Amino acid sequence: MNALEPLDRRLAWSLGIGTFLLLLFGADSVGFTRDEGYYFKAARDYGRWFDLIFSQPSLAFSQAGIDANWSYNPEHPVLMKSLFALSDILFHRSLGWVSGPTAMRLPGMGMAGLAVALTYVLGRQLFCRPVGLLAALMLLFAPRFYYHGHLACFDSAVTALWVAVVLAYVNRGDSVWGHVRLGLVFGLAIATKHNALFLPIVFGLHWLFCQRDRLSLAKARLRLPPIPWWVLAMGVLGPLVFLLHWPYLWPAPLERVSWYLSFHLHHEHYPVRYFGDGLWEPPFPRAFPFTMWAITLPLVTLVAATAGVLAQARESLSALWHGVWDRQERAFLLLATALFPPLLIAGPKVPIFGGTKHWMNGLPLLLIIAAAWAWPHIQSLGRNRRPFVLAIAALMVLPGAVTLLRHHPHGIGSYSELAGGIRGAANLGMERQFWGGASRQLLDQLNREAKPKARLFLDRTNLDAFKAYQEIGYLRADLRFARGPSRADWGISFHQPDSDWVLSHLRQSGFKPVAAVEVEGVPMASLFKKEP
Amino acid sequence: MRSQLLLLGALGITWALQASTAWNRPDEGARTELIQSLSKDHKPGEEIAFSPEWEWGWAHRIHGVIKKPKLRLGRHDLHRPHRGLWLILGPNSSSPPATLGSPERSTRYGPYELRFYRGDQGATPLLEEIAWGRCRTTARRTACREGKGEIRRGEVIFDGRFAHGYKLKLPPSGQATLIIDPKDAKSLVGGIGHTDHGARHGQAPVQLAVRQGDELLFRYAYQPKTGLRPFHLRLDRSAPLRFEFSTSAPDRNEMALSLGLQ
Repeated sequence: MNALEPLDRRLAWSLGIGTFLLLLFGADSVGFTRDEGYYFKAARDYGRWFDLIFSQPSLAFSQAGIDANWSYNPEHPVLMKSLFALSDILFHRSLGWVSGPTAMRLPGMGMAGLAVALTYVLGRQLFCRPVGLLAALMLLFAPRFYYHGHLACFDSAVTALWVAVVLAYVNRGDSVWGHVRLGLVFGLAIATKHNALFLPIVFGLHWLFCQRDRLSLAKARLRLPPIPWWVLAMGVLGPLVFLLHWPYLWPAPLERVSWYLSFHLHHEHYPVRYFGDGLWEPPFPRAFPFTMWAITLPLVTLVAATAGVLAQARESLSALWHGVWDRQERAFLLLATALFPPLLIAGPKVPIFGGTKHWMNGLPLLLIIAAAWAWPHIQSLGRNRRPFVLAIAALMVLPGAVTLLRHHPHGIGSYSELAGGIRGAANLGMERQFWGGASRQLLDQLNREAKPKARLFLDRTNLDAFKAYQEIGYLRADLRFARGPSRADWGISFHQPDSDWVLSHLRQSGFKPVAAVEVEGVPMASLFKKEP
Repeated sequence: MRSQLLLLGALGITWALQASTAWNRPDEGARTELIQSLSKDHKPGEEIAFSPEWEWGWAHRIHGVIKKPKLRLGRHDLHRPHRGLWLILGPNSSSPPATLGSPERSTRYGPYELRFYRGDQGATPLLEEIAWGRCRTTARRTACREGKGEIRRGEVIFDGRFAHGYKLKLPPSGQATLIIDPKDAKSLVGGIGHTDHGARHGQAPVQLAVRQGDELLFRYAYQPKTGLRPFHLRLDRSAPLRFEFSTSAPDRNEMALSLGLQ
């Protein structure tokens, strides 16, 4: 493990702040997603509770007070939503620096910055500074990660916290504080999103690998080495943080946690378009997450990641074969933390909606593996001469940046070189929208042309996102939300499996297409106007 | 050394593909020129299609210059006959169906090509009359119901691809006999298959037997698979055709027919 130097801390901060600023400057054109609409509402509800703490503390901590303000959206823990609320209170209501929805997006952007910074730190500690930098920049310029970084959602946050827990795990040493820190960070991770619940399993597998010489089978009984302190730290502090952070759980913790876990164990499936087929119900293709990574990450990154995974696997197998008892087993840890998320999604009954975001938490580790493989070869190709080495490193990092620029602000549907870009992916029949944000680019035309009090049916853009657009001034305040196309004056259809009926219905119901949001000619959403 | 070559190769291919996909980006000037040319040459009754069919941005541009254009909805919608068809081909386009034949005209506008296919002026591009039991669809009547089954004219959906035609919901008996009168037509042309809904839920193939009088003209078992299978029936006489559908699992085993006469 390499110790961090002051330069490393400065670099990490620079990467984090730089990422945040890049996201902030690009955020205006990134439309509000359906889930952001729900989380804006949740944050406003939770924000009222924070106000109540000061005005009526006894009511705030009563079950009535808790249920009145924390009942909405109990399927996700509330660390990020609380941050959205606090950011709204501070940056919008108190300081008036930004609009409410923008303020609520700031924590998500901060977490994306944290993910990039921590990726650098982990890469630096496990390998060297250039590997950390390469990995961090590849993450920043991964088009879909960049897209998700703008949002008031949880995916960039759980990516950051996944890396944070891994960092805490590798740095725990033998100290009490190291273990306490691990437990607390794990608590924050599971307070962000349920993906992090699997970390103990990943670390458990790692621990078994590290302790394989101490496992024995005697008299039909398996003997394990002593249970490590991190199990206790994560097992006690993690749930404690989780419970304390979420007031909604306090009146009935067992019942409400059971409901929360059950919701995700039995999550409904939303349709996905995959090579021209609509995937509505399981069984889903096991190759799905890996294929999606392959066609959404830059090709050179994919090659480096594949070669890197093979290299790390060879190292792990070699350790098994030769009996080198390294209690750290970094190669195995990297593989486990990078590949567990997609392997989980590869289960045929596991929901696969959401593009690549549900296993995005494995991406930083995959990129560290890729960078670790690539760096020595970059040095060799550049003959160890700095200008050449920098040029080759740039050539490796920049394809992601170029794709990101070409597809922004629709990175949700970005596809890379292996798919033939966004047009090639459309030809392959791949999904490019699922979340309702692409209507943003049609709002100006609606503002100009819609009659006063016109009714708008916006398909995947829900009422909460609609209200957020009006709050921020992107959509005229007099325009009204229509729940279906039958009474609407204008309609938007997204190009995704569960909107095929919308597209077809609008065409057959006297609506005329008047505009489309396109990325390199590929439609994301289409605007229709009802003919008189 | 091998790894260095691998990295170098990956870099080269990545940047080559970036350049290639950038080269294939839409050319708005060429698009505008094509649309203006189309608006000058297009005559009422002629239909318009674009390929690739997902490039839906053509639709609003066409609507902007041609009043109530008749749009074909994609590859599945090109099986039927026409009375004149304009086809816009863009980058990433696949070859048009061979059934279209050779174009009468073809003009390039940058990366785009505009073709015109002379059709059959006597063709009926889409059947309007299909009888089921005592009900018959017409130009005005677009649906018929029979014993909890239904046939309805409109757009049919195939996982992001579309066609004009009929959606057939089979009744619980699993049997449906549709009557199509070809009148003096020489052939019945188009496509038959499952909608995406039918492909997802259908638990058994749907058998189709087409008879004219006592003569069996066609028989096929349609497996629940999304999309239209081309259908071309040459007709020697003008007696009505019986389309006999049957299946052992009719629940949500939804079929699509997109047929015309020529």
